[in-house]
Amino acid sequence: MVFEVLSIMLMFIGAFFLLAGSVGLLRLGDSYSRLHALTKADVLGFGFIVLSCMLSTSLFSNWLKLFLIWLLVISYSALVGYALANRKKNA
Amino acid sequence: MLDFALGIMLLSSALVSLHSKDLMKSGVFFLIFGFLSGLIWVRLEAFDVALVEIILGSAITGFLIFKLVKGSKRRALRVSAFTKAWAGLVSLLFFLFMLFYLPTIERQDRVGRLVYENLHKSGVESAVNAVLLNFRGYDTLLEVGVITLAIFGLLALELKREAYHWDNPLLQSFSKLLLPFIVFFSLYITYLGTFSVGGAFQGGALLAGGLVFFALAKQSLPLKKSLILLFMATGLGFFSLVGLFYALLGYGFLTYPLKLSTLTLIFIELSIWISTAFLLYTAYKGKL
Repeated sequence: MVFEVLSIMLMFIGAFFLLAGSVGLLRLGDSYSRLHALTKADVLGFGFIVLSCMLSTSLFSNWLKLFLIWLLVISYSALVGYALANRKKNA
Repeated sequence: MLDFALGIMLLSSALVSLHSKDLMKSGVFFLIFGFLSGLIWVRLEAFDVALVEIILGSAITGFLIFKLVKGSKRRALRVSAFTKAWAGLVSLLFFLFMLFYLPTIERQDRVGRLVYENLHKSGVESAVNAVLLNFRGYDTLLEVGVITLAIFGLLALELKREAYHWDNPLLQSFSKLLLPFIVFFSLYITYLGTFSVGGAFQGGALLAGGLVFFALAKQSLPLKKSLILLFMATGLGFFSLVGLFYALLGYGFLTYPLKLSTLTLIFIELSIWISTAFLLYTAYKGKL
């Protein structure tokens, strides 16, 4: 019961950060600040969502998979942010 | 509610993809369309199709579309009003037909029940892969043959241009770091095919994505060209050799003996896995 409530709360916090990232992507002025908003807020929101998923399952294999997904997505999003900013700078 | 939202998003992404002036934007929205249709397959509980749709329909097709956009000169497709009206009328008729036809379909499991009744004879526990590799082995063999021949035809063109790549140290080290994980995960997906969702084509497409990422960072695999050619032909060659072998033993072409069928199917899956991966990788590079 406690874990379920905590899981739902973490899901909402994660959704809030993802929403904030999307609002930043739509509203901010130049592309660097848009990228900044997107990569930072999304990584944070995604972390909360992974935590909430981890709380809702009790299988060790699922924890491991979720942890690997989290690792992959944060490294990937950092790389994509770097690539986009680099492209913009050199264009 | 979720299905409704997904459907609306799918339709609007298709609309934007068709109507945007910029070809690159159309490409991006086509990718979004592919991803959303993958999600809809998940909602319909067809995880196999969803995996393939997301990997092939949005990731690898995306690369090919962006390559095409870079090469093409024309801004956007001009369509006459007559063609638009005609296409609109046909799709409206089709939509109305589906709207009235779909609710009348009753759930019939004639073929489905046959598959589940004979599942224990196939050697695998997943119904999809039992149909794919055992009951309808001919179809799969010919599918593998078609993609193999298509890519060998592409090689025969002897393209001169280099595939797009980005020479960047960060990308290079990241692709080096990522490739072993992708190989491992694609093997896992392939192995999963014997008793759950997954399978050789999905795993192969995943590995192809990893290899394309490797090639994007201007890295070449430490493999000889002859070995890559061998990998490309493995699927077709091994599958037909196994079929012929059992035919000579008296079981019939592509019919496996009950005791050995699991082992045989696993080896066939592995051969299709490696050849799908290297075929798609070669399709991206355009040459060996």
